[in-house]
Amino acid sequence: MIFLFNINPKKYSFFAIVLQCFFLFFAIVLILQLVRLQIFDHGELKEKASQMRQPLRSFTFRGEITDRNGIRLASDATLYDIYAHPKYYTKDNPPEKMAILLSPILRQPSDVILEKLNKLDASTITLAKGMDRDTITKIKKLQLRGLDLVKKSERVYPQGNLASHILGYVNTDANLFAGVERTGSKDLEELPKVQPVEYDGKGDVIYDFNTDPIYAALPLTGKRLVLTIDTTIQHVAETELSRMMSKTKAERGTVIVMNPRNGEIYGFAVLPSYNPNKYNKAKPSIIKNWVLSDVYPPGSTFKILTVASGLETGSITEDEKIFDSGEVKIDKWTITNYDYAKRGAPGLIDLRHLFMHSSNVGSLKVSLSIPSYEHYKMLRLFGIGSETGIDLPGESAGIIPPPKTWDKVKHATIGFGYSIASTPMQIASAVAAIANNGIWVTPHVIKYNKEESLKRLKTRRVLSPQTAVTMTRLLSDSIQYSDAKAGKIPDFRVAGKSGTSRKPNPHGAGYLPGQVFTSFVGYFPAYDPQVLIMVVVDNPKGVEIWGSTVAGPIFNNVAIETARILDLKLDAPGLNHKNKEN
Amino acid sequence: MVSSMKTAAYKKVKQSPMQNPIIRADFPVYEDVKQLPVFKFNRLLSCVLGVSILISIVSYSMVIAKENAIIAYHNKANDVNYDNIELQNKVDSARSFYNVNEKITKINFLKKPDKVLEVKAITPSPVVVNKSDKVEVQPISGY
Repeated sequence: MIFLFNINPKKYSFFAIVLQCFFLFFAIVLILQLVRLQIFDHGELKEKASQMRQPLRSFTFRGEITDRNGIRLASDATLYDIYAHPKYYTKDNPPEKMAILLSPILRQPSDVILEKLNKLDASTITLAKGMDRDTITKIKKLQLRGLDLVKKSERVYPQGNLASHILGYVNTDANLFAGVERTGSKDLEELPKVQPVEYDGKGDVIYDFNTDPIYAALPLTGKRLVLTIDTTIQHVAETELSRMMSKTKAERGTVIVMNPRNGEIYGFAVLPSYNPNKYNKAKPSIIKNWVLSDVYPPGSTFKILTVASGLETGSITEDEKIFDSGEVKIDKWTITNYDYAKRGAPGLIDLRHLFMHSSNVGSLKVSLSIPSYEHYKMLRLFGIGSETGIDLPGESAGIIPPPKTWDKVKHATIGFGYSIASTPMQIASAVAAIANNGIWVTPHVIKYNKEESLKRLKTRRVLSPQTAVTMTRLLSDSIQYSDAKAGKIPDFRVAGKSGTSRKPNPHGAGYLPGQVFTSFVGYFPAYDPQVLIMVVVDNPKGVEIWGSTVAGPIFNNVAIETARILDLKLDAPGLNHKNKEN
Repeated sequence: MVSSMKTAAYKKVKQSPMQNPIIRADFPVYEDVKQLPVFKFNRLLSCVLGVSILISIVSYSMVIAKENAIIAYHNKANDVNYDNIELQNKVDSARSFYNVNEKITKINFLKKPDKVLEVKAITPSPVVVNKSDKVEVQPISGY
């Protein structure tokens, strides 16, 4: 060095010391700075860093909902909200110019946009919401500073009104959900477990050695929810119900199509329906799934449970003969058969006759023959008075009075479906238990795998297999030997029962004059049941308003189509070929 | 002669090239700074550092270029994905029962045609079916 700079050794030593001191000082400053950054300012800097990096994707899609055949019933679409931030306006693009440029794209008058943009005191101004990608592309090309384009997902229901009460709707802003969107929300929001990707402040991916470019570009979507619903059966059920409701000017109606073997619901029509894409325009009374939340007196369809309970408890036998006087008086109350005025007293009847002619007197006598507590226990086993546990929200437990409050009239009327109230779903699942060899299964609309089924679905034995077979025989024979067309479908034997019950006054005691619930529940093929259909029509109007004339034709038409769609094996080829309802 | 040559060589190598020395003797001479092992090591380190910096610059620019390319592909892939989602939604809506029903109700199937065109029935020429046993099949070479 001495030679290089030609300095004397003394000066060199001094220069070396100064240099060393300088480096030492510099090193100390560096160390102190590192101590400050790493120890004292650690928390603040870490927070700043986390703000600059996005450890997870902030934008994700909710999972799709499909029917059992993979047809999409709900998915997500991408929309944008446009906001302006006045503090980032530039001199090159003043609000006046921005308003003129944005007006044709946003389809808003320029003076309206200018009025919004001129709110200079506001930190954020909402310019437009729910804009599509084409609009956003045009705005991006303008390269306007001070505009914020916020991406958001919106739920889309491509099938419109179809199965609206099952699907429900999503309002993420208000955290409101209905239908399976609510019950399946956990699955729909469950994102796949993959290597996390980090993003910078601009939203670009920060690549490192572990980043998978394919994954990084894939939209992050929640788990797909597969329903047990068959879209075609659902459509048939809604169409047939709608047709009958228009014909009879009915208020409400439902058709439940289910597999009695495993509780899977193929179709669940609830009318009137709404379009989940425009759920905010529908009335709350229409959005509500009244089939699960509201109860009704099941009427004659309940005779199935009365007779089954009588047989199971041993209170009656299959060959039981009951004296039907057509009219009985119990504690000042007179109870008659619906056809008493026309047919009078039928006399000694058997159980098949009881179902064929829907004998109220016969049913009440069967009911009274069962001890109250045992009868109550049987009905509870059938699921009356408790929620079915269906995977849809808002279910009601129904009403069944405790047996100690049963007087003779109440016990008698329970026999033909009064003094109690149940949901159509409860009746459907109770009758499904008879079809399923006496085993009750939780009805459900979400398709579960084996493990989930064991966890979520409950089963219990309600009837012995012998009683179940006896009931099927009685119900099937009563349909086949009846004069009514209800339940007679080509090539299949149906086990079922119609019902007509008076509509209770919601504002007080008694019933609404001239208003009824008509219903029909049946399953087929009778001796190897694959499908159970429950139909309830609320307050149809006309001359012949009965379960067999209003709900019956809906059952028949839905059953014929369902058998065709599911390609069921014919159990009685050639049977009932003249009975297709139009 | 040999010893004088050795001495001269020694002086050339070991003695400092001092001019007009006051004392003449065989003093041990300080080595040139460029000959010091530390200098050599430093020079080696400097070379390594230089090469490292060069490699870093090249690799950094390559990584940045690659990252930009990947971001461009990422954005394109995103666009395609979103387009696909939108199109799929449109297809699902178009073929939905709801949409088909709505469209069908707008069409009056029972409307009588405004005008009926009557055309002469075309009599098709009879098809002559040759019995297979009467057809002569020409043998083809190779079969």
